[in-house]
Amino acid sequence: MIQEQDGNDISFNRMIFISLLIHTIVLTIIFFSPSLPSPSWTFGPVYSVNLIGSSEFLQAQKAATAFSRSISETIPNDHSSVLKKRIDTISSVPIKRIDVKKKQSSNVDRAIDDIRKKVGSSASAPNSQAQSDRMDNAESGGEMNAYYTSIWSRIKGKWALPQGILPKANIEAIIQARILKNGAVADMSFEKHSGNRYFDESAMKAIKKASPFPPLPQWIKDNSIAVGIRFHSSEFR
Amino acid sequence: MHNDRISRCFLKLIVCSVYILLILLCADFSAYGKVYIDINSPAFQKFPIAITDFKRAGEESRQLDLSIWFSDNLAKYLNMTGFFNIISKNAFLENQKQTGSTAEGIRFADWTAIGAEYLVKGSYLYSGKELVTEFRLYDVIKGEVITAKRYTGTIEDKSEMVRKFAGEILYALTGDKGVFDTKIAFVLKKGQTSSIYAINFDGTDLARVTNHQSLTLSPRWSPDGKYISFTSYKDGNPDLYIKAINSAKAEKVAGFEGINLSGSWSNDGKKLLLTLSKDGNENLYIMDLNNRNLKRLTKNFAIDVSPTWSPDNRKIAFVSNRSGSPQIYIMDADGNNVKRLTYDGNYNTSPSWSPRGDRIAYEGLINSRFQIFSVNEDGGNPLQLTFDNMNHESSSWSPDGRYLVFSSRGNGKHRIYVMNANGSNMRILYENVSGCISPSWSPRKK
Repeated sequence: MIQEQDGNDISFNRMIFISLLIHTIVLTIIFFSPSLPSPSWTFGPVYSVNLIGSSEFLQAQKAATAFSRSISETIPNDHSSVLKKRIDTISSVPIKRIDVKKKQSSNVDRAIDDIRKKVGSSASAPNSQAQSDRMDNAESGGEMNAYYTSIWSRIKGKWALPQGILPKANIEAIIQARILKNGAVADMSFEKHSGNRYFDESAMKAIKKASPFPPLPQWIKDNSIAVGIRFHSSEFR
Repeated sequence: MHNDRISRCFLKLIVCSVYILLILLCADFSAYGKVYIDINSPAFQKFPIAITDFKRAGEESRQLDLSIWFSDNLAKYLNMTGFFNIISKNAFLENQKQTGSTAEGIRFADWTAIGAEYLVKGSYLYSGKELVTEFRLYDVIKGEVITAKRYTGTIEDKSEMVRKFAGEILYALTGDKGVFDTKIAFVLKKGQTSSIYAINFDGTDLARVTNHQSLTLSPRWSPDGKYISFTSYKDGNPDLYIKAINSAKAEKVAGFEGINLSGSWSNDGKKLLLTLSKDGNENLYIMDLNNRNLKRLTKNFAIDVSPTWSPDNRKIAFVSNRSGSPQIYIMDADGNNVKRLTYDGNYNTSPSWSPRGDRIAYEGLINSRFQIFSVNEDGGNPLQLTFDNMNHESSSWSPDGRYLVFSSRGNGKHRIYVMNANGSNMRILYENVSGCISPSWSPRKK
């Protein structure tokens, strides 16, 4: 019995290994294959920038100064208090403290000013860069939406299919296509057939009639983008 | 052994985590890799099609010029289907006189530019005796011929040729040949009498079917289209007759006391649904047409009328006032399992079951007018199909389930209308002032 179990376990492991191997290979191929849609434009640099808005950046700066101030306050204070609490009178502590504080704070302020100058000069560039990138991001996102909307309306505007020739059930067809930089459509194929030839035909026709689409937005680095166009009969009957 | 188990556990853990990682990668990939655009309804509910004038193939100048006749008639038939938008000839970019009917010389871009998806070109040769026509349907987006036909006949056959090709176009684009070769029977009233007439789907060839010089009602086609059943007061009582369309003689099949009304025929043509009042009030029966045996379906003190089979003959829809007002009910073909179908309104009658099986059409009283409705067999998705201020009654489905025919009265006019099953594309099939009622759509020619 144990032997059998072991045997099973071994074959199970082997199965998992083989499956894992195949999965890894296939997924690696899919992921790195140049012929498949590259996700790079959606992964683009815009995302990293989005997190640091100009206001957030300033706030971060303020927080940094406040933090450094409190540190600079506490550290010398601690020093003085630790050193002088036992020895000096209470009244003397504030004076010393104030002195120390003034000294320290002026030092710190100066240092901070220096840092601010330094950072300001160097940060103003990234900051504006970040801002412009952020604007790019918003703009390109909007632009992309606008682009997809234009495609949507073009295809919808060309789709002709009479009511009453479809089967009872709601059906759906998905056509995948590649839109080239100049807006031309390539590699159209069915990702999913609806099961109704006439529905599929009309969907394919609609895309063919609607193409070429407007050229891709400038910021897309790729030579083409992949889209899936889903045609439903749900709102149709 | 113990170590083995631990390492196995560890291995499983690694495998699991790798799987999860892969799944996450996949999810990311599919989420970012491709954008899906959803399109829910087409902008046009009709196929845009261009039909050029037909080219005359013969040389003789004195022969009939049918160029425009062919294109106009084909356009007329395609229009009747409600599925086509015929593009005006004024929009054509192509010089029609220069190009033939073959694919050579057709600049398909000229046709897509004006919004056409399909193009019909044709030619004819009339020698005085024989008429030869050629029809070609093109897909202008793909730039190829979809279907092409040649018909040979006499000049009298030209309408038939156009109807046939219209059917070919419909078949190519929708998978059904359409109902161009069907007829609609209806009751035409003249004073105190009425007769049954039949008319083609296109409104041509009105022909008398019965001539009993008495009130004649309620025609129903046999499934082969060769016979018609009806009720006639020829002998003073509303008796049920069956008559071959091509013969003058009608045979009385039910002459019981009280009314003898025909319901629909079974698919095999061997049984007929009836409404009889011989046992007191109106009840439903099935008659075996071979031996005239009756089987009673409803035993009820209410009035049960207008029985109609479902396309598979497993169920029967009918009208009953058992709940107080006339409503549509459905029961099994043996009379069991009765269920009420309609609840809206207090007067719903004349059910007709779509040959596709999905819808039941009926008329309902709304705002003191009868309008045509349709509803799913389970009572779902009820739709009102007619809305004007006339009374619309007695709907009957086309054999392809895409159209309904019904009678209308109002404003001093009586009409037989045809419309698409969704209520669009209403077309007058026949019109008079004396009365036309109770239309029944024939099956297709077999």
